[in-house]
Amino acid sequence: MPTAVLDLEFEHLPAAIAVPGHYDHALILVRVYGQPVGQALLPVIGGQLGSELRDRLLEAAGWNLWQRWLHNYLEWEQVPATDSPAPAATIAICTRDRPEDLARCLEALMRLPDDGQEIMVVDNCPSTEATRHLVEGYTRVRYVREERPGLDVARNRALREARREIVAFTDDDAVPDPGWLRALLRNFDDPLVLCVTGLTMPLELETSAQEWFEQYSSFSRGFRRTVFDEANTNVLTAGQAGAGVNMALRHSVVECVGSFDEALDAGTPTHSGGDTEMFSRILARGYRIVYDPAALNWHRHRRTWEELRQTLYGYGTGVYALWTRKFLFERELTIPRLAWGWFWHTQLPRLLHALLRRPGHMPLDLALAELRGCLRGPTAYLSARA
Amino acid sequence: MAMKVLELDLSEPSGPVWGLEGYTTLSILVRYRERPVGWAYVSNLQQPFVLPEQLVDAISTQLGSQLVPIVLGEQLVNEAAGQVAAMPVSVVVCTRDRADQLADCLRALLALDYPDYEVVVVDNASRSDDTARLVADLPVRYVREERPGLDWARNRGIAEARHDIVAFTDDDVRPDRHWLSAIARAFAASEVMAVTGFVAPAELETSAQMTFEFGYGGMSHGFRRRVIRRDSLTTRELLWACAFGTGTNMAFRRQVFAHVGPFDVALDVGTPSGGGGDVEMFHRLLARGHTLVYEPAALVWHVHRRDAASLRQLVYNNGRSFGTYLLTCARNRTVSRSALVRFAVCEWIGWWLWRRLWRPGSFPRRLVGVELTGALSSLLAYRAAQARARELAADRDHRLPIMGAHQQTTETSPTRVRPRGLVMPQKH
Amino acid sequence: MHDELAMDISVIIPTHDRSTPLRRTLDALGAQSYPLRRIEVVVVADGCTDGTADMLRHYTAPYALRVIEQPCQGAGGARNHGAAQATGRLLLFQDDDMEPVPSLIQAHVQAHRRWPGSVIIGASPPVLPEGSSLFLLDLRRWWEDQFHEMGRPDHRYTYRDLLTGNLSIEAGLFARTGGFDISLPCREDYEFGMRLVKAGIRLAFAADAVSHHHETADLDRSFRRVRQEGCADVLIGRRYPELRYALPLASLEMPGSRLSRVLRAYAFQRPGIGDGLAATLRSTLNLLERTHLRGRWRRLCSTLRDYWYWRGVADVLGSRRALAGFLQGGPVHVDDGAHEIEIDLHEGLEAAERRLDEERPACVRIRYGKQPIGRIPPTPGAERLRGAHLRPGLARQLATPLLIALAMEAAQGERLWP
Repeated sequence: MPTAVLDLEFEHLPAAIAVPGHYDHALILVRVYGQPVGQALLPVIGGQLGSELRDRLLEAAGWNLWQRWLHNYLEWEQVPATDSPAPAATIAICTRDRPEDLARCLEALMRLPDDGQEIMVVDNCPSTEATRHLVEGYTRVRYVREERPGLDVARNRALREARREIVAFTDDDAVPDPGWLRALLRNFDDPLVLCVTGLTMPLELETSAQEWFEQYSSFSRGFRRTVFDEANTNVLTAGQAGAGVNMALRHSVVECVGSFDEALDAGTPTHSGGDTEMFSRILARGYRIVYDPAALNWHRHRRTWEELRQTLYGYGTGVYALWTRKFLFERELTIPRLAWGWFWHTQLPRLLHALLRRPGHMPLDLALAELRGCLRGPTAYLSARA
Repeated sequence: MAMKVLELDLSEPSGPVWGLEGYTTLSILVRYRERPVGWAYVSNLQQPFVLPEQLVDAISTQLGSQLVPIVLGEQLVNEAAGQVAAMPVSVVVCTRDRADQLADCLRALLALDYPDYEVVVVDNASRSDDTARLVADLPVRYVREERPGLDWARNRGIAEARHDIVAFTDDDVRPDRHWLSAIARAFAASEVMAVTGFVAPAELETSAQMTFEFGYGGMSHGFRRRVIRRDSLTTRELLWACAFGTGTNMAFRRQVFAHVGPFDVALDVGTPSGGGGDVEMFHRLLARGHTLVYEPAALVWHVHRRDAASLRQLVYNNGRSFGTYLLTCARNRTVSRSALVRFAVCEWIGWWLWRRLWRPGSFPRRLVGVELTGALSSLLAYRAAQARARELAADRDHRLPIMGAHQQTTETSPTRVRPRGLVMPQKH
Repeated sequence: MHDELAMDISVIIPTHDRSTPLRRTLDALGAQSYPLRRIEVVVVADGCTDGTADMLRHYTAPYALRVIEQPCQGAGGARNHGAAQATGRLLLFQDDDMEPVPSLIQAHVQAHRRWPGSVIIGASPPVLPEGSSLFLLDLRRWWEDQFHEMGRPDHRYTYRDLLTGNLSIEAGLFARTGGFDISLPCREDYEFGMRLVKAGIRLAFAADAVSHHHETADLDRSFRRVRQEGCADVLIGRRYPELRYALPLASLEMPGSRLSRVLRAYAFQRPGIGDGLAATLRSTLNLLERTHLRGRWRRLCSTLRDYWYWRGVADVLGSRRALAGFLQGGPVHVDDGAHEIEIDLHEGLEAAERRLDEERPACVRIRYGKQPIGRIPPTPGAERLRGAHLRPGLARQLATPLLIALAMEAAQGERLWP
């Protein structure tokens, strides 16, 4: 059941919206004065969105919407615009053998307002020259080639090569919104903030694999701006602070906290977890991470079922690899309790619901894939680290 | 102890409210541009009047957070209220021996702010001819249905109605001026097949009325507009069909009866089952995949039963009719038997009735017991009702409400004429 | 920058047994962009025994350097002494563990030009040593939050914003206010701030007047200091009764964990046992930190800090009954009824802000037409309201009633200004 993805501004809500025929639901992102405030899922009846559109969007946005409206009415910002100029940024895209996705991403980046940012593509262990040829077609984009495989390896290379103070990362299969970069940079005026993450919405939900991904492993962390630091967050569950598909780091993160762990994330046996590990380390050293939903980008989830299974397997591996690192090398003794808690409260009920075929259950093969990944995680990390 | 019931529209200027001798509290239905927002309660402190400042103060304190999305939402969206083309509507009022109350109802109906509608009074086996005499001088149509039973009367009303939208209301009800325009607006979307509305108490003078309204929940279903479709409902929600509306205030597109069939004549007031015809229709309609909209702007004022004995009877009938409704669902196989049995035992008897017997809240325990008694009698009542309906169907065969005779084809659903106008228990 | 307009600056540094960091401070002052011949540095050696005086005698500075030695009197007394001896028109107080950036004095001078007659507080971001403990991380977070908050243009200054580590004030003004109160064991800066706020003297934050603070605090020293803060709070509360219920000692009856209640009782009745228990728990803190049980560490640290605070209070007042009597003596809610104005938002936000800037009330009642919205209540120890405080007050505390009033107004047919 494909779902259309729409982006609507509440002030200019049309009375009726026609949706192409093959969709039976629509996921609508609601904005107020340009800022995302909520999302709602509505059925599509006869090519039109249901008549309850406005009511549902109002409900979905909730108090967020009225707060934003009031701040606009009072002409007051929660994050004040400072006199000092916004820092300059390097946008880094780490890619491997996905030239079509990368082309779409670069096109979107070209449409960002020019604030003096630098755009850099880190081509990670490519098998063809397609990416290089693609990037040569863009004069504003720098091409860097990193031969060692690994997403974190590429990220570290980006940090080394960047010439500006802030490095903003986005994935090659993501499409940033025009206001993305400015929203990220606005949050860096607090000197304790080392990382800013943003909201990631799905670019399309055409296949069932994409819909399941959005349901079980979504990148979205909600619509409220949140500041995470070690006093109010459990350092070991830093994944709630954001995702690597949409993040910006201060260049000084390497000196303050260290670089990305090259044994983690895509391209290594652990498949994921590099971003979460960096967030966790940032928090543990006393710095802050800001999640700002105004920094919006759109991610194209994997389309096939096989890739979805791989992704969930990789997610399980990454989480356990991260925990292995924390437990064995950083003496975080609360890891076993955390792992048990996750299993008992989330993974086991999901598995049972899938076995009993309760309505709305997660497909059994996905639940098992994640568990298999978890089992493989520790050994994968140790072998990657060796 | 009586409460004075009023309505107040915020977009109109208000003056002081007089005539409050003998009342201790005002119960105000606050509306914004015809849309009800909520109830506000103001104490008049033994004075015979209340000042507008007190009203505004109470409204902003009690209903402030509901008002913000409704009012400011409209400011934000800046939409021009689309002028909906006024579809012609047939209003059907089924009545039996209640000429005085019917007079009030008709007076309100004839004063509706709507350009194109007709009123059909279906006199259901009245013993006297007061109704006929009342209606004779009024510009309404009069039809007599001899077979006793509210659903027989409703089906007759559908057959007699000339227009595509058929709206039903009861004789002890005073519809609001904008009732039909709200219903027509709800029908603007072509997928909508049924619309139910808000039922507010017209008066809260006696303790029986207050028990019914506050202890039992009255007949209203909230202030939130809802669009209800089968695929967004669980089986449990589908079976609690009394949450979708009430027969006192409902409207349908005529073509839906061709698809799902008419009202089930073994149910509702006037038959041994005592009620449930409306609930069963909502359930059947949704189970077949149609869309129902609960539109609180379609507002009517209902005079609740004033004395305690009638309240007891009403509660008893509620219990009994819900049971017969569930048995009808079982017969029609709209949901699986196992789900139905689980619902009946755990949800209805267990959670709704038995649990409230121990923790009745503000509703008297005695009345919960009465409802439980009614529930337990529903099996026999169902049998009796079925037998009676068969009798009636076989007895007279003039003007059987077979769908198709007055059917007008529309583009959204195919015209399917099935001889399901009869109540014969059939195997589907 | 023209020399004629330059002021003579006296930098006053009280020091006590920190000759190496002091040297760093003096070196950094030698690198100032401000003309060095206009700078005088007065170092007050407050009972130093580590050879600071010697070091100073042999120190060659590119600016005028004066050394005053005095027996141990405390930082407040040292500053007063230094200020009395200083000759500059503008006094700049620095601590001996500060490392100013080259533009520090320039920034202070410019701030004084921008806000004449005010007291300028500069930023002193902490520099932590390697391998920081949880305590130091919390400390840094506290400082950075403080500066970030003060850097907002709509910040409402309170007496707690006065930080003497990087502070500049005109010499005449300092003399008129009487300087720091030396009878307080600590928190003489808060007391000074209270006097400034009550006199209506403006406090301002200059974000570019940066002086790095090389933090050397540790947990035990902080516990000792918290005890002194307990004493000082009682003394401040005696002098300013309206502050009593704003101080932490008003939370005597607040519920807490069983451990904190037990410790609180011991602090007053059996300090000996309490001290022993606190020492044991202190060693547990190390264990918690090593095993990364951060949440528990934080809770236990907070409980211990409370214990030492109550010990300090008990040192002055003696018993719980005395504390209760002390609290009885001040108003629970300060109602500066004399200066409260009413604002109607119907007249527009700009007009309301102008009125606040002109009248500078202590508190304000806000209406929207005929509907009351709320009040920005009087806060003891905070500066009087200015126009810039209106919008954040509405957006933060009065958001719901304002939205409801706007909705009621819109419902009754008035078109809202966009």
